[in-house]
Amino acid sequence: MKLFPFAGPALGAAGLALSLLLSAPIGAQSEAPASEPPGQEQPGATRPIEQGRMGGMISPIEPLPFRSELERRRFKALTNELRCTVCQNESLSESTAPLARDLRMEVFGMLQDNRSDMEIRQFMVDRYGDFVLYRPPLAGHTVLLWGGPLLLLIGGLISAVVVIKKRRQAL
Amino acid sequence: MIRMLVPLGVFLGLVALLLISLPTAEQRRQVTSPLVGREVPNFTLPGLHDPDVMRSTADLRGQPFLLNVWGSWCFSCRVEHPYIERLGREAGVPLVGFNWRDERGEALEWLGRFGDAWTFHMVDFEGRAAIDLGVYGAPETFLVDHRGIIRHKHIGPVDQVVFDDLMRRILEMRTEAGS
Repeated sequence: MKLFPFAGPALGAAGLALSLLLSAPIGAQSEAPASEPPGQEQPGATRPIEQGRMGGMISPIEPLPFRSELERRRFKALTNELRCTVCQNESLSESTAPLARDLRMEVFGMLQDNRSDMEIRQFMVDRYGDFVLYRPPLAGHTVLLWGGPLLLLIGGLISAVVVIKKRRQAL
Repeated sequence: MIRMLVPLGVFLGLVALLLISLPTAEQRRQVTSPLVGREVPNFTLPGLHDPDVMRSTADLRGQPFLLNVWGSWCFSCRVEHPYIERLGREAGVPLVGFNWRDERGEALEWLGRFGDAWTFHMVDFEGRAAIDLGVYGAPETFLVDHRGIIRHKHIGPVDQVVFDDLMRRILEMRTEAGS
């Protein structure tokens, strides 16, 4: 076998193309209704501070009356992996949007009701779609998304082996 | 010589890929709510003019209706208001106002100034029913058929084009309900 001079760059470019192709479903996931659609608005800044169910303002730094350390950790984990539906790439835990505040309270309320993490995530998906999950489920339309990196890794390893072998032979 | 064309081929492939995928990104953003095709969530909320009257989405079962999410703080709601008024007059189905995270006084003043063509309003001050509806922002307009299934959701203000589209869909729903 002869050394193929463009093997490296060509494979690199092919990898890039493949990753872009694979990013299509990622885009479908992450871009869905990412930004506020034109003309839509959020309740908010000009309004008086909302009173949450706990009787105080709910902000990312507001301490909520958790019953245990475990509950606090679950709350943190859940709000970190749920997307704020009205912000560009912010999780529920980071966002100061009023809707995010409402949703945090909803998560907190469900924790108080002893609902499981699965149930809480499902509650959000039922209303806002898979888009709210930073980790989308493994399903038919997300197979490429989840399997893509593995495919790229295998492809890269195979091409690396091939290139190394060729170079050895050329020496 | 042919080998030198390989990177060019890859490049052209990339260009083709981007040309195909970039224009559809906008469509993906307009992805519909998972609630479309499902039953409208059942919630009971007080009225706006009549806070003592509790109204439920279940009361409307048996006929198609429109549900329009608005708030007096929402400028786009003012923009779409002429079309909402027309929907209230011309659609021939109840037009329910979903007053979201608003103050009663301000909402009533807003209606006094711009007109109130809604059949009635439901007030969601805390925003919990809005979460059940999967509301992102205001305005939003839902079309619910006589079986209580959400058939369509429009995000953002209604303009002439959207108005025509909504009227067509409402006519469809009315025909279905009649047969």
